[in-house]
Amino acid sequence: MERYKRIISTLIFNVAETILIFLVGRMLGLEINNIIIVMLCFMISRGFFGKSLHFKAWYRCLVWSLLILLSLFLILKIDLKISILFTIFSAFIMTGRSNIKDMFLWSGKASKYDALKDLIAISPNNSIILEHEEYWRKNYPIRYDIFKLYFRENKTYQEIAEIKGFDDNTITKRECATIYSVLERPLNLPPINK
Amino acid sequence: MLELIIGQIPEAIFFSLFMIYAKGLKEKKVLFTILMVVEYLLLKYSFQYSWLFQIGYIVTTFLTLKILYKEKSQITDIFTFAIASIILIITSIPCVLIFKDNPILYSLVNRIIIFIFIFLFRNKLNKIQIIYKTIWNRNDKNKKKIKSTTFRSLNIVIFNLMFYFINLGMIYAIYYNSLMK
Repeated sequence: MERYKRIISTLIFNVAETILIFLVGRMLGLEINNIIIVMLCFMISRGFFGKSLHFKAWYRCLVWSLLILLSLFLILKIDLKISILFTIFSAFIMTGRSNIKDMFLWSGKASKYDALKDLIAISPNNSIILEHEEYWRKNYPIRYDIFKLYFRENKTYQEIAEIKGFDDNTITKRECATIYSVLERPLNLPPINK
Repeated sequence: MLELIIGQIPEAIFFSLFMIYAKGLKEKKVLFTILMVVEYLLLKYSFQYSWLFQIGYIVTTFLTLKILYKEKSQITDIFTFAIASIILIITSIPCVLIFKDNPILYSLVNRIIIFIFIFLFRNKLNKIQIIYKTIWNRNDKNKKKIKSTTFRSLNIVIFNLMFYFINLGMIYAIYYNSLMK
């Protein structure tokens, strides 16, 4: 019984949402056929790509669906073909198929120290990082310099070798590995797959 | 010729520099910039005042990144490119209003502004990429300021609206050009 109740309420919500979106299209003065084409195209494309992303709250779903379709209707005012193209693209983005790691030729990892680099970029004044940095500045100047160049300024091994006058990348690689292993636990970073 | 030198080539260079800094690209930067300029010019002269130019340039930029940088290129680059376009639009509006009677001065001032922007924010642009990498994929385990689905929806709406306004701008440009003639 509970299950049927849920199915019926979902059905009512979806029908109401579809009618509302359709009316918005009509309000923009679009032709009925074109509105239906865009709406169907969005639904079918999402189904075709699979792994659709859904909102957990119904009101979020309503607001964002309305905004996405409204923006597609505005493009429909320019041209039907281009709006179909944008509809398919929008539908693709709203599925798990467009996840970063799922993209063709993308392994999702450019450097094995990405997790630390990202954290530093988002939170440059993290107290744990600043504390370690200060300690290295006083006690391990080379580690401090490499930390600053590689993790804060995004320099490559080659660029660091040129700046610091190293013959090869051995020191930089060793220091980067040490820095990551030192910060791994306090910052809750993922372990490196060797 | 003047339009090419102070208008189109700097615009293409702006896009390539924006992508280089936003994505933190370290290699093949000159080749990437040259390709971006060539693609821009080819598309501009093939589809002048047409939506095909906008779509074509987004697609070719994505493909260029994919071919040159494989591992570093991803679907979110399309939205990074859109951010560059929005900056260009925002900086263009006051220039158009101030120098509407002098297109050369408009182009010159606007290009100076966008290159100052790139120079000032060159170290900050990489944050765009990091934000995308952190929020784009759905992960319910980690609490984020904005949820993946909301973030994607927001990106789509802005992207679609941007395209709509670019087209409005193109209609205005066609109308303005016909008036000038």
